[in-house]
Amino acid sequence: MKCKKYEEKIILHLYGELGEKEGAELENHINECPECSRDFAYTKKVFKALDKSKEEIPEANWEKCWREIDAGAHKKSTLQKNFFLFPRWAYAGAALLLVFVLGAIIGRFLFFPGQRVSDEQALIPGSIQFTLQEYFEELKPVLVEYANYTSAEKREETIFMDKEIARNLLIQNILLRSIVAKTDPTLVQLLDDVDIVLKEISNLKKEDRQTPSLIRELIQEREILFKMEVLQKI
Amino acid sequence: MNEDAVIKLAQEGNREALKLLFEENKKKIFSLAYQYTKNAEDAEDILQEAFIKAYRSLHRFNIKNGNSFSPWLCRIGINCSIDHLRRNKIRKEKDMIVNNMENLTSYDADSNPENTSAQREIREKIDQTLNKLSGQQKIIFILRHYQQLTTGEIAEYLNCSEGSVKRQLFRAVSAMKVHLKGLILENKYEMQKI
Repeated sequence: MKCKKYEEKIILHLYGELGEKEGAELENHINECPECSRDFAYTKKVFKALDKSKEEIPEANWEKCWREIDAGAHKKSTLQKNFFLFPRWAYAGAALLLVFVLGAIIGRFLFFPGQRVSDEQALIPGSIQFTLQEYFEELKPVLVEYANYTSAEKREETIFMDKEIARNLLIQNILLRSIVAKTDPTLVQLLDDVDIVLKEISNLKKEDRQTPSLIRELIQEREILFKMEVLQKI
Repeated sequence: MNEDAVIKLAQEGNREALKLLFEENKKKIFSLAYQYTKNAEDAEDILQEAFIKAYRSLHRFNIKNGNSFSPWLCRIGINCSIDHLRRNKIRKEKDMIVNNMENLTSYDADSNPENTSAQREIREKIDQTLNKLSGQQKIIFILRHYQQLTTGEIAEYLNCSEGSVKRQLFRAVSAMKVHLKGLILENKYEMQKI
């Protein structure tokens, strides 16, 4: 159809949805345009066919429908009743208490971040204290060995293994240091000392007989093992 | 008792008030659902679902804003119809084949003398076309053609613009025109009778 804009208007006109002015304009156009006139006549026939084929709406079982609705609505009120087992003010009070407790916990961590965790917390897997304990447990045998170093003991294979262990510990040391950097200066100092020792061990050469002695002195001078003992007991 | 007072009582959980609202609106919602699903059982399910949903969200219905209960309930009914058909699409397609076969075999026993073979053919074609329309086009066509709502009212019910309703209605009627063309123009249907 060429007169596209009139196609929609014909439908709206048959539904009585065109204003007086638009309706008159459409009728004038239909009188002049044979194509639109044919479309108008055909659309009228389609409308009549649609009207004629209107189905009679059957009667529903209203009683049954109402029973279902009544039961459905009643079910909801029972649910509501069960949900509020206590008076509503009790829920408001509990919510307030919860907010207060959460605020206290968050505030403690925000305003006193340097405070040491308790023994119970130290035992919680995943806590920093727990990680530190585990790290010290791994570190201690290596440091003890070098603290008791005598030149006759060290063989090539032992040095190679020590270097590997020291490299792994060094990574852990760096990570731990970055975690406690802002919160615990004492621990940072200890980890810095350990860092030097571990770097020395990592760079050991098999023919080098002097460096292990230097490491021994370093451990003793800086009292690394003693400090670790103290920290583990706090 | 005016509608606002009944709604207020229903909001407070009054069972009789809810029943009054049901009595007032049941036919409207049922006929809309029936025209949408072409199945009385489905239409009853939709009617129940719509009323239960309406009751559960009745506390959100604001009487003071001059809102009318019937369009609000109709909106819920429309959504339930669309959801219902979407949920039962596969089942419906199977049922439709069976129903069509049953209709064809039981047609001679139809008590309505006006139901001629051509009319039956037209009605089937209309139903087929309606099922090919999009959910929104179908509901707009039903609301305009069978429920006699204006495009403005439909726009309000469906929460969209009147222009959009007109466009969808135009597409729906155009689809009807295309699909009925063969039947109407090839003299299969005696137009003088209509």
